Amino acid sequence: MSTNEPLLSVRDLTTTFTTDEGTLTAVDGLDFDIHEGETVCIVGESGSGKTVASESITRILSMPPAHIDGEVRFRGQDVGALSDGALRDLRGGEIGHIFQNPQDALNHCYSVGWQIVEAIQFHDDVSKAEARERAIELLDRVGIPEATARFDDYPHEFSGGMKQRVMIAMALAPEPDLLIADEPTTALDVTIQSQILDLLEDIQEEFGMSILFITHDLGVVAEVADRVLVMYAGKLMEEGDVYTIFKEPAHPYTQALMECLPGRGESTKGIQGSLPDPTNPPDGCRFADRCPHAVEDCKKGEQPTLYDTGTADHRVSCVYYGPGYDESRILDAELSTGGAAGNGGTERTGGMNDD
Amino acid sequence: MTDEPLLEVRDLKKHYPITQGILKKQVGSVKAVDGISFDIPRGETLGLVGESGCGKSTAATSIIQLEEPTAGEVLFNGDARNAAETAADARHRNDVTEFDPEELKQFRRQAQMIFQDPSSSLDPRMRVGESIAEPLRIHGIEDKAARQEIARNLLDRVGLSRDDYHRFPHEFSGGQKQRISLARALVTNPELIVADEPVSALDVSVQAEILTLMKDIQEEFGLSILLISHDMAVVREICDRVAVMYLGEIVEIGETEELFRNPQHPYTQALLSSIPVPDPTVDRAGTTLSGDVPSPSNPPSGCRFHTRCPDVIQPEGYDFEQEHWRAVMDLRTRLAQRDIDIEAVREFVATESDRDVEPGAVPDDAAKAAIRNEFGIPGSLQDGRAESVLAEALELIVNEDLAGADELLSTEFETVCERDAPSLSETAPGHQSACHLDSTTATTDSVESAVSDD
Repeated sequence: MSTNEPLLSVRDLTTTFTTDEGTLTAVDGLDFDIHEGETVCIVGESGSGKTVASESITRILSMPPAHIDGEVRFRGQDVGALSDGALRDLRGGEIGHIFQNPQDALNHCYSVGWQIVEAIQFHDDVSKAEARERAIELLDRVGIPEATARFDDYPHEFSGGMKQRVMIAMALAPEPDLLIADEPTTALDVTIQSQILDLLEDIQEEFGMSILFITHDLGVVAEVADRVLVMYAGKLMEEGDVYTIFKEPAHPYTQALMECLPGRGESTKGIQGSLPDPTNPPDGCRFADRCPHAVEDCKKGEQPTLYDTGTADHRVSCVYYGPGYDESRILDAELSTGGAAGNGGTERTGGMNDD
Repeated sequence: MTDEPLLEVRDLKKHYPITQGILKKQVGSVKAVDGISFDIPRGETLGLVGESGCGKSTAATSIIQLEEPTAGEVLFNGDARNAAETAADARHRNDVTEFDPEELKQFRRQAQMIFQDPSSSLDPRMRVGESIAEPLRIHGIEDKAARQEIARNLLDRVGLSRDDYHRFPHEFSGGQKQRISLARALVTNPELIVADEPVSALDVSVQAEILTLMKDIQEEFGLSILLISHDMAVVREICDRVAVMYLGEIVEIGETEELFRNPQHPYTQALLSSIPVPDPTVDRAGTTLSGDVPSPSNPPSGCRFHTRCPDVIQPEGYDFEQEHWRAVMDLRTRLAQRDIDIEAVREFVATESDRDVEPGAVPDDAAKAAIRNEFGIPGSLQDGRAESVLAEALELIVNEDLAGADELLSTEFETVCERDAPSLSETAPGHQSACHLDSTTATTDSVESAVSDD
């Protein structure tokens, strides 16, 4: 496999749900790639479609009411064309999942060791003793103290952080090539969150896998991501290298999101208004109603295509970057309010400069 | 108006009993809040931060008397109760915990609370205007038109429309519902608002709006706010002072900027360095804490943080690498819980080794090495005397004498951190920290500053 070919390639992914209020479009025409060994973050607020997008990849949504269109290719193979059996082998096989609430994802009635052994034996034809050995090694690897002794303990005997470690061990069991982590640290305290983020970084280095990381926390994004996708109301607003996104956020939504961050030493600004109705999205850019720079063209036709900003691999869905507009109007506005990233750097040492 | 603070909390405790059997015999207690003290001056915002389970929410509900505190005083000097004297029966007239029902009702008008989840704190079957106006009815405003007018004005003030009065909670988004909760808290014209994680259920774009609104309203109404939060960034945004809680105790308290710039307690330092910085060019230097928060039913002796503290003080007469000393302390903590299963260790060694070994046949040395490895203790400590004590303890462990090993290490490697509970001492004006490391440096600092002042 050539290094240029992505591990996962998603084209025009559209996920809709049939509801009583009509058809709800949660993800609308999403395109992205994940390369080997890369960490891609999808960042967005609730209702942006980030979780649905991640669950559409391995089709773990219940269908119906969900309906998935578009193409998902994993190692060149069309995931949508797979049989149920092949799909099951892929999930928890080459693609592992970890979720926000480890207590909901573990079965209370079985010991954690048993659950990991089940995951191993499901994908590998190994003896029970061998599976047990592997499970203990995995528990030890993810930092469960006294792995052998804890093997027979039940989920309720573990703390939240420890349960998330067990989930990671379970996802790692078949040595996946891609790990989809959906808000894995959101339910945890910051000190435990930093332990889990460190652990994910270590095992990524060791196993060489790719990670698709879903989060709403820009701090976590800055820490783990190689590349960032910013989603809003089911649409991809901006994508780019993590350094570019934080240094030169190009989309007005991304800029607004950075200014929302509290504790930067300057006052936070919220975003006026609310998300558009997902059953009846407005014409034009989904963010136009809340955008400080919106012009007439923003509210016409389709969501703008992803234009190149001039920086490598940096694309943004905003008319200002298209023909006939001057993008400096948005970039300069950003500068005048003092870029979020620049101040973020001084946060810990205290960058208070108001008054 | 006097200089005395609006709220003074003195040695507040809230213990929950643990009962057993049909007779509900009390066998222990969960010390959720264990002796906290602080003041909130008028017009000031105090942030109470800590991880889940540290007792910050219990502190809030105990202060506002939603739960009866086990011990301690909560002095509320609002409502023209200034400078009240101690009564004849030695109780303070302003002590909320001693209030009779009539006084308590009065107090509840003066002190209002906002909760984390606005969806569950509003009655889904009540129009939001009625929810906002209800406290007025309870506190005796009979005129319906007047109540409605006040509620409408408040809706307007918190950024909603006067016409929203007749709508139901489900018609509003999370952020709007939190605005309604804020309006309901303001309706009795309180002097103190206790806000328990008011923005943690909200998206960051909405969070910012609510925080700005809270700041504006505080200024306009001259409110004092007690903000409970786990989010250091939120606290930094709106608080004047911050108190950091760990396992039911306040470990550090100080002016917000001073505390963020110059955190004194190792726990505060660890907490601050755990926060991911929204800047990819900054590497989180991360003092990663070992282990989880201990149970508040049986908190560690001395300084409660000593079981996880990276800077735990070394025992007298020994000279460790700090990192190795922390590792030995981790071993001690686990020994104290008798939580080392030597058979499991042998089995683990047998599993790891390539050759087929029976767990019973694993040599003692391999088992000892596995224990050292698990805790990150090197093959040999640099201090020869410490090493010989440790080797003796490991010998006891592999011979399944955990109690003996625990006793040996406890006597030999006793640290001041587990022996004495540090008290809050001033490290800078208005900045207090409860750490043995500070109390030694603080004395020298204060001497120096005294000299330079002259």
